[in-house]
Amino acid sequence: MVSVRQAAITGVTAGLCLPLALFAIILVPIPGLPAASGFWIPAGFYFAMTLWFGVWGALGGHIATVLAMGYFSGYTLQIWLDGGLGDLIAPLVAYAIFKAAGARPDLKRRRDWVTWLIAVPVASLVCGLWVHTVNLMFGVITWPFWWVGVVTYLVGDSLAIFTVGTPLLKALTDFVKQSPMYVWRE
Amino acid sequence: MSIPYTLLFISAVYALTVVVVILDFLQSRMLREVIAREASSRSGLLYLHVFKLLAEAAIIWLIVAFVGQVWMGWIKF
Repeated sequence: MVSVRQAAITGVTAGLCLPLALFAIILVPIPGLPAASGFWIPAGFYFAMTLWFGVWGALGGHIATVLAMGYFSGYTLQIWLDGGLGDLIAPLVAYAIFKAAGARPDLKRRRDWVTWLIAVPVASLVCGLWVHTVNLMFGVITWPFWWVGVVTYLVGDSLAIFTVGTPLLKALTDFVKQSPMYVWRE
Repeated sequence: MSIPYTLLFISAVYALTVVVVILDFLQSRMLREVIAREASSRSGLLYLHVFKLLAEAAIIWLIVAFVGQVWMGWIKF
């Protein structure tokens, strides 16, 4: 059963990320790729929410991405499969890397910083590989464009996450630690 | 050079919004320990504080995006 807190975390994440996703698609479009952005600013928010609250934060990013991409390209299976699932997978990959490395999102120790610097590009790469492979299979892009898309996602998502996510984690993790929903409670 | 009324009004609203966000940020820094202490006994305050700061960060980004679009000529008055 979903608790009020879990629903609130998912709802707030989705609500914050939706306008950011809409304008990210409008402001930094990727030519040839429908409803995509080369600077995916909402990822900075849902990465932070996922590292604090686990899957409930990631789910908010997923909902915002599906709604925003669908607004431009229709609410189709392809949109849900590529952007929607890609943006659900990416923060969970970062979360899994933090878990595996024994790192914490407060970024206070050297281990936390190194993990953050590695986890973000790795998660963005996984997202890019997923999204563009799905696009390729649905015939939305052709093979040569696959590489362009993957590299664009790797760079664009990573830059956005570092730009927004780093100050959010540094500024707010100490507060979030007091929440019973914080996933790293000891 | 005259500034269109719509641009003037929106700019005034955004400028005040930025001032409010900066003041709130400074207030949060000054009350950091008080908020942390209170939040430990009332988790609702904790979520309000975190969600509010996240929303403020999102608003600042959208204002930057607005200025960028005016600068690029994508939004005209």
